[in-house]
Amino acid sequence: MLRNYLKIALRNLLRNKVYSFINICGLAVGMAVVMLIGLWIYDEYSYDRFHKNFDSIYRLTEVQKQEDGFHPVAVTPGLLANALKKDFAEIEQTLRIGRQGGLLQYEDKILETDNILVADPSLFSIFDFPLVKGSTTKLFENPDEIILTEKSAAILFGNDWAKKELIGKTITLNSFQKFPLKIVGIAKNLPTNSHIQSEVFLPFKLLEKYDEWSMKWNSNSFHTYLKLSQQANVQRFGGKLEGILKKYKDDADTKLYLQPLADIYLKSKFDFQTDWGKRSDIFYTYLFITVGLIVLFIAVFNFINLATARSTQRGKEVGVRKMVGAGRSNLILQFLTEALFIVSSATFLAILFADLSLPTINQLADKNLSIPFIQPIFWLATVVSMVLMTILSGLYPAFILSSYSPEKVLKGIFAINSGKNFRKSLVIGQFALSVILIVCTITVYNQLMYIQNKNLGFEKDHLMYVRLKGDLKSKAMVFKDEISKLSSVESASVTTNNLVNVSNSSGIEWEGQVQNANFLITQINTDPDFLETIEAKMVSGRNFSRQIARDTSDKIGTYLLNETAVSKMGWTPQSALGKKVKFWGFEGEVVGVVKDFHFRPLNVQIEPFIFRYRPKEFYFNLLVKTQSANLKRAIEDISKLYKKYEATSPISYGFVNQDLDKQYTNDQRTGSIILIFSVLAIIISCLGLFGLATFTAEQRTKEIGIRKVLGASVAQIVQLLSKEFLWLVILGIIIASPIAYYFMNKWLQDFAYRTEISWWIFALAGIVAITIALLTVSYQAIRAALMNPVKSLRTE
Amino acid sequence: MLKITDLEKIYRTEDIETVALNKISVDVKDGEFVAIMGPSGCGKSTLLNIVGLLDDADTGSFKFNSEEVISYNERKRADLRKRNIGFVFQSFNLIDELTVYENVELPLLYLGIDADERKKRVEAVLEKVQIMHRRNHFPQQLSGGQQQRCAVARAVVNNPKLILADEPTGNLDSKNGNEVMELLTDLNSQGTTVVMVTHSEHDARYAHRIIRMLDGQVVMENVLS
Repeated sequence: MLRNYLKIALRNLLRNKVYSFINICGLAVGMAVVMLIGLWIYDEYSYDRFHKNFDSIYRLTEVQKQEDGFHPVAVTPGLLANALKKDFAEIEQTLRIGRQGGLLQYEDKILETDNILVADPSLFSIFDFPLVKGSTTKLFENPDEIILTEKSAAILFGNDWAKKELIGKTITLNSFQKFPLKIVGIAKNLPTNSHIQSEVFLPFKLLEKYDEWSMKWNSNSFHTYLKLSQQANVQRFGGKLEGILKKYKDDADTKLYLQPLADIYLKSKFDFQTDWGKRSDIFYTYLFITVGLIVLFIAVFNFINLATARSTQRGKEVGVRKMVGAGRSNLILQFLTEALFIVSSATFLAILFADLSLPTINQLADKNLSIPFIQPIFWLATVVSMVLMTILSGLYPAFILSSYSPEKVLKGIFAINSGKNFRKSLVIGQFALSVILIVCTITVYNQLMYIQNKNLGFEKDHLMYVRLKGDLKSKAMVFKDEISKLSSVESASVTTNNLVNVSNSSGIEWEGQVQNANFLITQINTDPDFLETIEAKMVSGRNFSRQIARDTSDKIGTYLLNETAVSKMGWTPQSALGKKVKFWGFEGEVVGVVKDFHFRPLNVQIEPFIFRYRPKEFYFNLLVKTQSANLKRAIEDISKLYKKYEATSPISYGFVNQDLDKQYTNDQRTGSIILIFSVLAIIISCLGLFGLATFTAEQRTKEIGIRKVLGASVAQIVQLLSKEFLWLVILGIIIASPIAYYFMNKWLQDFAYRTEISWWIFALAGIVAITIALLTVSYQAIRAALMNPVKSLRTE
Repeated sequence: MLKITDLEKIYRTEDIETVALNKISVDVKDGEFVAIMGPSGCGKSTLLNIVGLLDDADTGSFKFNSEEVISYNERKRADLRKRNIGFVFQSFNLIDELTVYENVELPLLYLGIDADERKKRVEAVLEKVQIMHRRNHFPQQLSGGQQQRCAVARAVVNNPKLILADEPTGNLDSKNGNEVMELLTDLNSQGTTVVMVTHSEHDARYAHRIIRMLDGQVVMENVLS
């Protein structure tokens, strides 16, 4: 019997090639999308799960109360871990991790990185980061030790590093001073699905020894991890922790919270750039699940629509089968088998589509996904989804078809209108979903354009930054003066930061500060040419000056503030001038107020900013405004000069506008992926619409013939056939608009600076949907209208 | 074999009621060949459909082999149909996607007969209706006569006790029509009861008895020698 079912299914598919193509390809594309999204989500959820202590590891986070509200931060003081370990039996192990940049050197080989992790030895016992060389029991007992990964070892010791005896070898770290460090271990490269990522590890003892500040209670710079005992009641322990900070320091307002390891990668949203490491956002997971389901449903709707629309063609067969003794259950089983056959073919194609598109998707999503063909779970999931898809898409048509009365269908009497409203609802649903995706795509792109074109308050174009390494840090001013003289350069300024995602926030005190009115302020150490170089404006007062000794003094210095800082202090740009502020322990006078500019991604409001001019301290970057026509020459000139001053470390430079754009990579990725899905959704919807239009044209052949005989023009016939579908699409647009508005409005809330969702987006989405739908339908409509009426009437 | 008593069937639409069968009573004996005649709309096809358990009556009684079947549910009807009744229609009603062989095999599949037995029976019946050489062809590749012979083969392959034929020669030329009638007569002579609806006096003469209907009632019965 099964063979008979399959045989008839196959012959039906071969006979109705258009129908089969629409069904199988539509389903295949829908399933491929779901498969790719499934792989993506599987990968997202695999983060950090490889640690055997996964369930008992937590990170401590803080919620700080500041004047403008509560701020969650991922960093805690360096003293916290030990204090807690002493006070709470629930804690088995603690781990502090800090991050810094530096340049490692072994003979002539150099590795420069911003991502050196400074950690307690428990990093290698709490987490499963195995060593390929060295022993985990004797790690980081001294401050002058270092652990490399396979990758960094290969950079410093060549690809045959494994054959060399590296343990005990000394390499030099150029950080804020030079340190000789002894290699005590080589770690296996950290898995890509770890939220902790680094190539170099230093002992926390190094900080304890050289950086006094790290061991103070206000040193909020470290990630603290706890491994709790199996017996620990996490909820009760969390409750005890919440207000504990006031026991150790004078801070009753800051609360401590436990963040499970499972949440770190997907659910971390912390202020002030305090959370480094690899992060994603659970929002994208939900978004892609929704989009995947939308595409899948559109494909399933096609299947149901076409299967029920074509039921008149299958009606005779149903009648005959019933007549020769088939029961309804036989027929339901037959049509479900047929659906399974189609779904299976679609699944096979879907796997092929998914596999072929993986390289593109990987590139787009910055992942390394692959279909796990050898894992039984993949095949199990495939079979389960095949059965689910079969039921989802095949059950309704099976019930409809099997319900036909044999006596009527054998006479050719069909309730042509049966299920017509259902089919119409599905078309409306398909187009509503497509329009939602179109609106999402336009809004995302609109926002990206808005960000790219928004005036940041400074001129980001032709602004180059050069990292000051090694000796250049101390010779920054001389180097800068030479650069400024280059004809290809308009101006240059030394800074501690390159204006891309400036972090480093601290507390500040000010004249007339009321109690509990605290906020964090971001600082930059720069020079009098900074404002000119980045083309920022002053609102009041004056710029720093080389000629005024007070400006460069450490003791009683001067400061510039931005508008936000001034307003948070309760001043106006005018009244701020001459006021005293105390920053990092040094009192100084506000001599000028700088117009607000964006130094963080546009997701956040402009925060308070303080400018210092302390030429005796280190500078880490040189900002260079190049002449727009001479960029290539500027790079060559600067590189030449750089070599003259710093021969050991190679030059590293970048462009502020490019780096700023990179901050929105995630959003750009989302935009591209949604765009692809929208296009697929629309294609699948149109395939369905095409199928339905074909069916309608076939069904109305006689009507069209009669109308033509009575004098209807081709245009009138086309209009007649298209009108019906057009209404469905318009209804779809009406339904989709508020839904799309709701979701996009929610997405835009994530940006402190955002575009409007204007009416034209919906109009454009509507026009796109209507045009595509009309083109799809009119092909069939024109074909039907051009048919010779004699021929169409003869079909009766 | 069939005992129909006071059977009534009314078709209702919003505005009008059409009485298709008006308290009709008909008996058909085992082995009989009965022709039902009458003008279009007289209810003959409705009667045939009710006898074939493809349609319901509103009131009255219908006994099949002395068993009241009027209240049978769909499952029981399907079961009774597949074991006892074969159908032949004017428009052949073959499944276009199946070959001649597969069309004829279909009732046996629903009866759950094993493959060897099916093959034997299908081939035997195809031989009998002389379309064995066309066994692998699809219905569209056959002439009308061949299609109807295929339909007859399908109707008799499960050895039904009753064959219901609805204008079996309506779409055939006289030569092919005669051949189909010969086939039905032949089956009847082997013990199968045949009830045939027809417009053709010529075809009706193959029957033992002609029931003439008008407005849902039997108006006359002719027994033929």
